[in-house]
Amino acid sequence: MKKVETICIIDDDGLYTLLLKKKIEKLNICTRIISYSNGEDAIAGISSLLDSNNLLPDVILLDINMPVMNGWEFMEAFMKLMPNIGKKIAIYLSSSSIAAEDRLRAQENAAIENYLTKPIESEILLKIAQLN
Amino acid sequence: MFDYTASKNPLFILDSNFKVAEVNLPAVHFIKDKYNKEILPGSYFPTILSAPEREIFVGHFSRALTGDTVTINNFIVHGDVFINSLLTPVQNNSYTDIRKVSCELSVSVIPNRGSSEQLADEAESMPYFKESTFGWWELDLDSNKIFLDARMWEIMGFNRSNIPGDPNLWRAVLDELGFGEIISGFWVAAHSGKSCHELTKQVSRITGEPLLLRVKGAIKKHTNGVPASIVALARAHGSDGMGNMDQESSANYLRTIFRNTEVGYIFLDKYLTILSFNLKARTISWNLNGKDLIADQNILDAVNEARFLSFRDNINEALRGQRIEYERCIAKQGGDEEWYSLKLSPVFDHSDEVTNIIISLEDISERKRDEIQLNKSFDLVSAQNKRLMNFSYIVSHNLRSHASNITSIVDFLLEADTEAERVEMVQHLKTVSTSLDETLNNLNDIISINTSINLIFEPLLLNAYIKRALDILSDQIHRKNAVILNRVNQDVVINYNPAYIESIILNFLSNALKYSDPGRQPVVTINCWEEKGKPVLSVADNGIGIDLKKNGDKLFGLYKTFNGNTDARGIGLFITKNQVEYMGGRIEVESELGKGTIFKIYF
Repeated sequence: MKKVETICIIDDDGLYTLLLKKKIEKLNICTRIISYSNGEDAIAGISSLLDSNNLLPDVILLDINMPVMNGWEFMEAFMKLMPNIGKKIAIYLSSSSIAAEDRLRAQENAAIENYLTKPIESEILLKIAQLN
Repeated sequence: MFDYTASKNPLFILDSNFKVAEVNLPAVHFIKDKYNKEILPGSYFPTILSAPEREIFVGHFSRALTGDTVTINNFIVHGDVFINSLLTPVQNNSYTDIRKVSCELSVSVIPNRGSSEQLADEAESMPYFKESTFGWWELDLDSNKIFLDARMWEIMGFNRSNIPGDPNLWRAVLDELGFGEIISGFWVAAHSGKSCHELTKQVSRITGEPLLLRVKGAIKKHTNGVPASIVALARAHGSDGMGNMDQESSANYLRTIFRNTEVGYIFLDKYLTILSFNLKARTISWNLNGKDLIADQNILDAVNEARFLSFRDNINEALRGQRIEYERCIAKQGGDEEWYSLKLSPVFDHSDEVTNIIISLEDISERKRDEIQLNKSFDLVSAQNKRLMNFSYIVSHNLRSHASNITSIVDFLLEADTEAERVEMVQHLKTVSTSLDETLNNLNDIISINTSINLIFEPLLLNAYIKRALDILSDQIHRKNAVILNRVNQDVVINYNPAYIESIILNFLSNALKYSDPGRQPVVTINCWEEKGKPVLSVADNGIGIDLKKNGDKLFGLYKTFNGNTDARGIGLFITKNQVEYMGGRIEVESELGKGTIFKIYF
């Protein structure tokens, strides 16, 4: 089975993050999981890793509704960082919102791979690992 | 108002007690001629009549009082002429309130009493029926011969010189004009057993003009039941309601309408001289301009130009052929508003030149008030809708996030390998159920924001509510060892909704305590002052502060928490802001990270 190096979870729901981590660990699809509780922390974390490409996440599972810096604001900040990132990072938007508006906005953003509805099922996680 | 002068037939108006209220000249002459009595305003009408006439009249009159228009056929016999009476209820402002009935008399002709023509001549000879608008005709069904009286010929457009001399030709001439359809209408009625019939048919005058005839008649039968003849009265039924009226009557009617209409009219010539106006125009003009309308005056002198800055321009536009329409609001003493609609309509001559201007004025206050009320409801509905959107947002997002966590936990529970893992998952389940419960409580709070359309305002002692909030928070104040400085004067009274003020004060005070800085003793200062005649309440704290640059726009949003404070619910400020704004006020916030926050509530 294909394994991803690093998966990054950006979500303010601590319980959700914990459960998702457990699920990913069980599926054994990556070697490392990092997590941030909002967009701002994530940008700070990613910026600090810019010099060490191998530590940068390969996949980001990004929540939309977060305090301080939400998913959309994170995307804006992330786009600014992009020229300095030496590898492809696949971003998956994951939200419990079933609002069509969010889904559409995600489709319009070329930097976003896909829009996932929470909870993310194991099959989908496996597919993500295969694609990246 | 009933313009009884318009009728040429004998006409009188009785009040509900049969007392004569109005009487015209033909009626005075007729009563004198027939009964040798005087009919005077105030006299009791039934005593004029003979006993059998009285009985018939009183019965029909009571029906007219209930609102029906009643015809009494062959009510009075005078000489050889039979006279009908038409009783019309005279309505006041309300359609149900009938205080008067008008009684109009007209001639009817009964053919079996001598020759019809002779009868008609007799009717003609009675001055009070001279101007009758009814013509009569008779058709003998056995001989198929038709007879018309002079009035009927006149209605059909004939004069004495062009009526065919041979009566045998009359039927054919009239059929040519469309009379045949009227006759067949009666024929069908006769064969279906009717003895009376009434119809309206389009025919032509001999001059080629179209004519709408209203025909009312009787069908006489032979002893064996076979229809023998048709006798009918007919009058022109004008499409504009004035069809066959003589000019004087129509002018009278128009005058009556002009005098009594609810719309004010001012008629100007092209030099803006006031030619004519009605009473309503005078009343409205007085309300609008504070000046009286005077005929022959220039309209510009009658208008208060301070109130109608653009009137001169508007009237010039109208003179150039434009139809101008606008609304004006006049504030009345006591805060009432009166709304008027003004229309300037140019009148053109044959070469499209403006010769006159009609100004119409209408009191539209009631309509306007409805409109304002409607807009208010619309705003309310919009606000409700916004809350519903928020509601659906919470349902979609927050409830679903709990559901999503529950799903994951259950999956883990089912697949748990160790008891320790199971216990851990049950712990998580407990956490989710607690937050789910909290979310549901918050949802309830949001739905219950101002669901009532009109909230009660009451004068409230502000300090009583501050004290109550501090009592509720006493535990937290004690725990955090907070200092509360209440600088609000003991006697400050604000006009507000009690439930709202309680919730607003409690929210701000509990926030001030909640976001205190662990590094120093919390100090919360409450103050109140007046700005632009309205009270302002401030709640200042020395807490952790808010980064307004970053979070200012989300501060009052729903479920936006940003202090990393675990019990931040992010719903209090949303509700508070809604309540303050709903009551017509606003909230301002100043804050500095690490120093503290001050919220100002402008009531």
